[in-house]
Amino acid sequence: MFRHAPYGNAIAREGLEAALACGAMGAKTSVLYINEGVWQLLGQQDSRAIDCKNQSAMASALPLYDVDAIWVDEDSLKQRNLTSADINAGKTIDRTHVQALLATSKSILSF
Amino acid sequence: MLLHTVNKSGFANSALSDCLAVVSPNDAVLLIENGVYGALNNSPSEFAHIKNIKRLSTSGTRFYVLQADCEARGLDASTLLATFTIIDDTGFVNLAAEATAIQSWY
Repeated sequence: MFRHAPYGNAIAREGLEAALACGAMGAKTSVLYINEGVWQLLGQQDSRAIDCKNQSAMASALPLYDVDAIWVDEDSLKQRNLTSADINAGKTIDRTHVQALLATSKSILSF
Repeated sequence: MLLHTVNKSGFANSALSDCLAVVSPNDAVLLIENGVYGALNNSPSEFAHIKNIKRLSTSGTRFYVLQADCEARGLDASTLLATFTIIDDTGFVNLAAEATAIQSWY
């Protein structure tokens, strides 16, 4: 569960690393971008000038690690005046689906 | 049942309101650390999170607040919303054991 914007601190990057590690270890992994976490999905990220690894590029590695279930909370996009056209990965889901996803998760890592 | 823990004050951070927006009726919400301020009933105005807590409580969501964190911050039980049950660390462990998963809002 990704709830924080990228680059301001290490939380978002650590979340991605954890998701990649879960995938690499063969754990059935879903990723949910919600609240400020949806900022991680904006296209055209270029973090060279702030000396950080491009997290957008890192996130694009998720399917290579068998993390194919990538979900995005629709309300969080709307609240930030974003649409599915603005994001570069994931399928949007409503709050009912978010609740169902959480309820069926064996464990939740929150970043 | 999911256990949601919130450790930020509802007055300064969106963690509590973000949590309340996805909580299900059969879930439990536990306020810890600075999160305990979210259980206060003595606010001068009706904050949105208080309204949402009351509404969710009516639909079945259980609300808890950690005793040690209330005591440390000088919050008396009489100042908390009646919807909250005060629990100690053992209660926290019991809730965690009861839950299928724990979601930490911070």
